[in-house]
Amino acid sequence: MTTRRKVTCAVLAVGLIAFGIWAANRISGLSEDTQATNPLFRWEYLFTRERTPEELWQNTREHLELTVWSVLIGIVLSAVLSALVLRFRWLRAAIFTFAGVLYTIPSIALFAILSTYNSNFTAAIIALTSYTLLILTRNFVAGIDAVPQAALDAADGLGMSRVQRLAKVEIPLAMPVILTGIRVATVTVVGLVGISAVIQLGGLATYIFDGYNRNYPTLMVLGTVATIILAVALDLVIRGVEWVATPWAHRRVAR
Amino acid sequence: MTGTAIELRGVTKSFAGAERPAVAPLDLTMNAGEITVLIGPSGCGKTTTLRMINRLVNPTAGTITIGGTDIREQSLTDLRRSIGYVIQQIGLFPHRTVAQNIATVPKLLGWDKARTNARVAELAELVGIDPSMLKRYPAELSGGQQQRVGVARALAADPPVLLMDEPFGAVDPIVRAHLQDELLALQSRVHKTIVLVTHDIDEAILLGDRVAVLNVGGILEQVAPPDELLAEPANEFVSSFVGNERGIKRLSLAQVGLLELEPGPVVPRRASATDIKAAVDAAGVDWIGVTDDGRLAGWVPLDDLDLDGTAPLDGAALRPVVAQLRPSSSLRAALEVILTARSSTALVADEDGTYLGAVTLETIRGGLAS
Repeated sequence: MTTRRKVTCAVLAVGLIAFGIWAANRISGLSEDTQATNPLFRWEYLFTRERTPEELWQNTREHLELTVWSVLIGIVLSAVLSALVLRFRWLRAAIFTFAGVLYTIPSIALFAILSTYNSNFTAAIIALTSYTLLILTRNFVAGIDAVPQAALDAADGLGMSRVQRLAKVEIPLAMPVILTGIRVATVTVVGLVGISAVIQLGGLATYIFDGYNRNYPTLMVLGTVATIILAVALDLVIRGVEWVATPWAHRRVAR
Repeated sequence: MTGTAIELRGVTKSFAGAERPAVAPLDLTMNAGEITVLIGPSGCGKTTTLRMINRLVNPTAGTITIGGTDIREQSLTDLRRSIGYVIQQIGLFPHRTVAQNIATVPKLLGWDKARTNARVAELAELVGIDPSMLKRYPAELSGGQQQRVGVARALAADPPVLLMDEPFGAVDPIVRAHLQDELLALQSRVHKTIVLVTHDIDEAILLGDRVAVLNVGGILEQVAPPDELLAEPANEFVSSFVGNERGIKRLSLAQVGLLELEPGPVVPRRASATDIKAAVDAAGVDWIGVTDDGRLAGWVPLDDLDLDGTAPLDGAALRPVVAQLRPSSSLRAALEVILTARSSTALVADEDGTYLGAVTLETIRGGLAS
């Protein structure tokens, strides 16, 4: 088992145990009546309530829309920022500081402020996009920087123009790192979308906030689990894209 | 396309902030169809000189012509596509298959698919890459195979000129020796003008038709064929650079065929006892070599012979000649044979077995002195 996998498993285990303790305490603090009427998860809500599938789909779609749009816009903006960093090295510190500051702004504050000047959807997209910039730009630049000097020298020596070198050598070779950046940004945004519930959006996190306000744990559990499933699914999809798009990176046979 | 000559006239390179120029005004001609080796200690500007030929580095002053045309008359990309380029780290594109790597320049030149594929297959055969490897990625190849692909890629558009920057620096010694032989075999088929940079004097002597020795600051100390470089180093620097084993290094360059061979202790089978004694005494050995119709047949120790008979060699049991050389053998090989042979004499015969003469330590010393 790789170290990364061990860490992932450990984090998941700790999370599950913490959730279990929290749930157990919560239930034990309630009277038996409440426990009977308001359990941690009511399966009927998921399986027999008529409007649930439609609501669930609605929320998932909203969650996906917010995620995909902000990541796509983030990719475009980060590509521009990366090009600037790579072309004008002295801009590097300025651009990374800018992206870093955006990344550290408390998310709730950002959502709240932006929504007073924009429509809620626009506000959410702006806020979520700004969180992707640091991750994406860093990975884009690191990916291009890591292209082996010998490959660049060969590209020049064989007579590729600057544009040909970028398109045929640098970007393809940076692709694994670029796609990793996109994957991390996507998973991060899936989590962050929840915060946009403060401005009446929030996709699946709407369940969590509703459940909290109405003291109805079923909704909180549903929202949490659905969000996790969505994040893992997107992670797997992008890993699949990585696998298909960069066959050379994982076809290493013993010499 | 076979090679065209490269001429450097007063080529200078100064880097900003450096005290001395990296390459002093340099005049050098790389003859068409020859391998010119640039060699020197680090800081001698050998790689810089090489990279000025395909304008990866632009000269501060001076002109470089290829086949009489100034390299600045072409666009940068056109120039580079017409020059093969091989580097030490090989620089294959890891995301492209072997075939795609080889096809890089044809693709840049806009060749159609059929022509490109045919050329890739031809090159794979030329440099010795198995066709099954063409679909693999560079990471799936050994270092030696990668280097062959690098050479194939450089030759793809049949450029007249091939620049090689320490091409065998990254492979282990056994593979290197192999690749060096392959390069010579390849060159005898394609006759490119090859400029090769190395810091290994043995490689320079082995591969170079001419070797240019550069000193720190890009000063040309001597340019000469390897044998001349070893026999008559122009100055102290060159002689210390080629090392104190110049005699031994020359041994691997010169061939037995160039020596003045001795008659040796060899007689026809019909020879009389007197002739045998004369030949043996002249050579100072205790055995006699025997020829049939001028072809070397074997040898017999004198003790086995009855020297009173009329034809003592008739019917004698001949032993095969182990200490045997060909005219194309190097003096190094000759020395090896002599040192391990009975009584310090090796016999030389051509491909048909026709006896040509004998080699001793004296013969070799005479050959090196001339």
